[in-house]
Amino acid sequence: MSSKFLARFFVILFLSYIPALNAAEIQKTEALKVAYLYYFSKFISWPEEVQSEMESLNLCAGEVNENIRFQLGTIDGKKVGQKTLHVVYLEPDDDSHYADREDKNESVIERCNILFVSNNMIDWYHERLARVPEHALVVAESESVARRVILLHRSDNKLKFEIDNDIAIQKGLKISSKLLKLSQEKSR
Amino acid sequence: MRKLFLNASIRDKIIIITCLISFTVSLMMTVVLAFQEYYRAQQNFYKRITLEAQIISDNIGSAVLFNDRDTLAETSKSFFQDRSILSVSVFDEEGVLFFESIREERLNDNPAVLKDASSRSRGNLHLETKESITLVDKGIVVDEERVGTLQISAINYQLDSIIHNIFTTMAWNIVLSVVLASILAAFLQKLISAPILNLYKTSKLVAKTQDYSVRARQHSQDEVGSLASMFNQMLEKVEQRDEKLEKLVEQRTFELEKLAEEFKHRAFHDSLTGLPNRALLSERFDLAIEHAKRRQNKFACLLLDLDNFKTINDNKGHSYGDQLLIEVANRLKNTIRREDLVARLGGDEFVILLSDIEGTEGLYSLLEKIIEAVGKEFYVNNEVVRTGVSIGASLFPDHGSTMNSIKRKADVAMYRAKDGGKNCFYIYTPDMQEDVRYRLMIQNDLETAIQEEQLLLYFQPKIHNKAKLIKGCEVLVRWEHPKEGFLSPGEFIPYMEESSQIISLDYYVVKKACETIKRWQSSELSEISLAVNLSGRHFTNYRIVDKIKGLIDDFFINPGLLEIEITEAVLIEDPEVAQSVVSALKRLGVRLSLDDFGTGYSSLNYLRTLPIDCIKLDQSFIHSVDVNEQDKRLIKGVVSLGKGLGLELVAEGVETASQLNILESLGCDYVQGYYFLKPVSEKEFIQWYEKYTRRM
Repeated sequence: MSSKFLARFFVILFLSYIPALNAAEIQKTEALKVAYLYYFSKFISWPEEVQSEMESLNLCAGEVNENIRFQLGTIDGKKVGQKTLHVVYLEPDDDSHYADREDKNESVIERCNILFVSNNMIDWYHERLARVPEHALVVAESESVARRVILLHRSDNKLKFEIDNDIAIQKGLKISSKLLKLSQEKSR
Repeated sequence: MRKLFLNASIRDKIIIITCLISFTVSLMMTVVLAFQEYYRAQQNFYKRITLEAQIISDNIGSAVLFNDRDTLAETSKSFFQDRSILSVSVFDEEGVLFFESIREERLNDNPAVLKDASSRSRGNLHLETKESITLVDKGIVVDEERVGTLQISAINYQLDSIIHNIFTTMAWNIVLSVVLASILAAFLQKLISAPILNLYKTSKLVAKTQDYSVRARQHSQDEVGSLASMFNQMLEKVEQRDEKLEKLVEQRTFELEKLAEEFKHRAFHDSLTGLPNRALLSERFDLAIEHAKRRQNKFACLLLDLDNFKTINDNKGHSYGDQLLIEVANRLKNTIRREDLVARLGGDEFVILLSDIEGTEGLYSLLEKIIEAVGKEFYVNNEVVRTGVSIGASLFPDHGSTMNSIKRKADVAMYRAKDGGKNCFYIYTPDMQEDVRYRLMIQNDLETAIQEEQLLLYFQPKIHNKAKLIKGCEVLVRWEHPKEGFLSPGEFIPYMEESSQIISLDYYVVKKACETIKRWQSSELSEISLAVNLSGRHFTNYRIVDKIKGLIDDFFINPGLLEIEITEAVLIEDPEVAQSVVSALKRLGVRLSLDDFGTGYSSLNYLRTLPIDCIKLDQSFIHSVDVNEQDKRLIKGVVSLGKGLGLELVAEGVETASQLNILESLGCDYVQGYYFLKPVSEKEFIQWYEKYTRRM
């Protein structure tokens, strides 16, 4: 075998690994995202009246891939303070009857305490923005998401988040300074 | 070290002990305090690090959850403001190192330590210290959920300085304590040592000065005080004893001095009369010679001998004789001049040194005064006694230049005085030397005379008055001297009596008498006993008894044929010994006669105590018996006494028929004297005996 052949072989072999590496990286980032969602709940407190009515802490997520769904499953049922974290799935792209799904989702969204707005759900979110509870902690992956409190994004190959404490205050949410400290966006 | 301590003074010992105690206590206290301080510093450090770990862990929980190493780095960086913190490590829930931040400069200083520190396994909050690095593990808890572990490695930089401070403080504490203790001990030790030192000084003073009146001061009532008290008591006793001893020594010294004086006096004085003795005379003689030489004059040496003193002594006893000597001495002292000296040589011999004699006239005068003074009556024991003195005188330098020569000349002159009738004086003249020569000759020739049998026995019969039988003979000695011719007893016996030669002479006579008895045993003279006179010198021991016994045994003679004539004088010196010797002689079977009876003053007593067989009445009684009625009455009384006691009576010195007749009429058994036969040789006696017996 010529050296040229060997060079080509190794280039092909390397390139064949790139998708695998990306997938693992993505999987890790998604796991982190889910963990972050869970951890956010530890540093944020809801208004007293909301807190007292809250049976469980509902984390609502929709339009998430299987991997995230799996990761969310790991935190479902975990304790956050006195409450239990309950993962609630929003299914905007479900093949079931839209009207039924719509009703279901709307009733669900009103019970969301934490609402993870993935990039796939941005529109869906904006359409139902009015129905999103005032005190819901909106965690988004995109800056375009309105009234988002926390923005999750990748930076320098790391998962980072930014907190808009103004909106949080507006929403009556109290965010721990410790979390704020970690946030890239400082409150005023 | 121990020897040094033992040799140190009490003061030093107290200071040393105090310092040691102070050092030990301060060291222990300082160690305890240092340990406490060290422990407290460690605890404070630990608390501080723990608190800091708590703060860090509280602040980094979110960062851990959100993988925010930047925040962790930032947070930990702020804690590196504490210089003690070397590294901050964060481990995740699985214990995997999640974050680590190391102080830069420490990393450069000692990476190995930090590497070691960072590789520590984590756990719950705990403290481990290795090589002064403290590791603090603190769990990171968020919402009651442990999300990781914080590990802080820290080093207590202050610890070294704390330890340094502790040691410095400790050293200062000890030094100050010891110094303070030394100073205090130096002052306060006096409370203890002062009484002891005082006691020591007192004892030293006493030892040095021997002054036992010194007393130790009693400072306290403790043991030292008691010791001082007892020491004082001891001193008091010693002082008392010393005083007693001193008094005793003074007394003894006084007695010894007195005794020494007495000895000195005795050494130079006669104990009886108190007169100077021979030793002092010798000294004074030399002085007199020097004096005479210096003054170019003469001094006289008088040698005095009391007349008849022996008789007085024998008759009156030694005590009486001694009293007489004392009186004579006093009289002599009172007679001579102050510058003269009278000394006693012994017995009845005195020496007088008359100094500054200018001529013989003065000497004559003095000599006459002495003769006159001694010749006067003496009153001794309420009795009157008379004596005289024979004086021989010699002159220095006329008759000699030394004491011996002068005294010898005086002696010669004194013998001349004795020979010249006594109670007179003679001054030495060269012709007197002949007397001396004669005396010496007699004394020197005796031994030869015995060996060559120059001494002859003469016999005087003792005749029974009534039967006219020759009962026995008194043996008398004569000397057929080869140069001097025939010598009667009076010519040599006195010289023999002067020395012990009389003993040899008596032995010779007894031996010859025994020999004669033996010879006569086979003749008609076999019944005739022989009487031998013995000197009083024999009666001081038993040698005469042994001698006579030996002769009786040797010659195998009838002891009853040997008669021993003794005088009362033999019993004077030591009556007990003399009596026992006489008794021993009697037990030999020999006959005993008391010679010269009537001249002694205690004759009657001897008749009672001595085992005598015969009394020989002194011829002085016989001499006038035919004319003197008193003598006749006396003899009659003696005869009666003798018969009453069963004793034979012999009258000596019978010279006339008249005397014989009276003695016969008075009942005297035996007679002896010139009337019958003067003492004659054996041959003449036998011739006379044969004639006498034939006539009878």
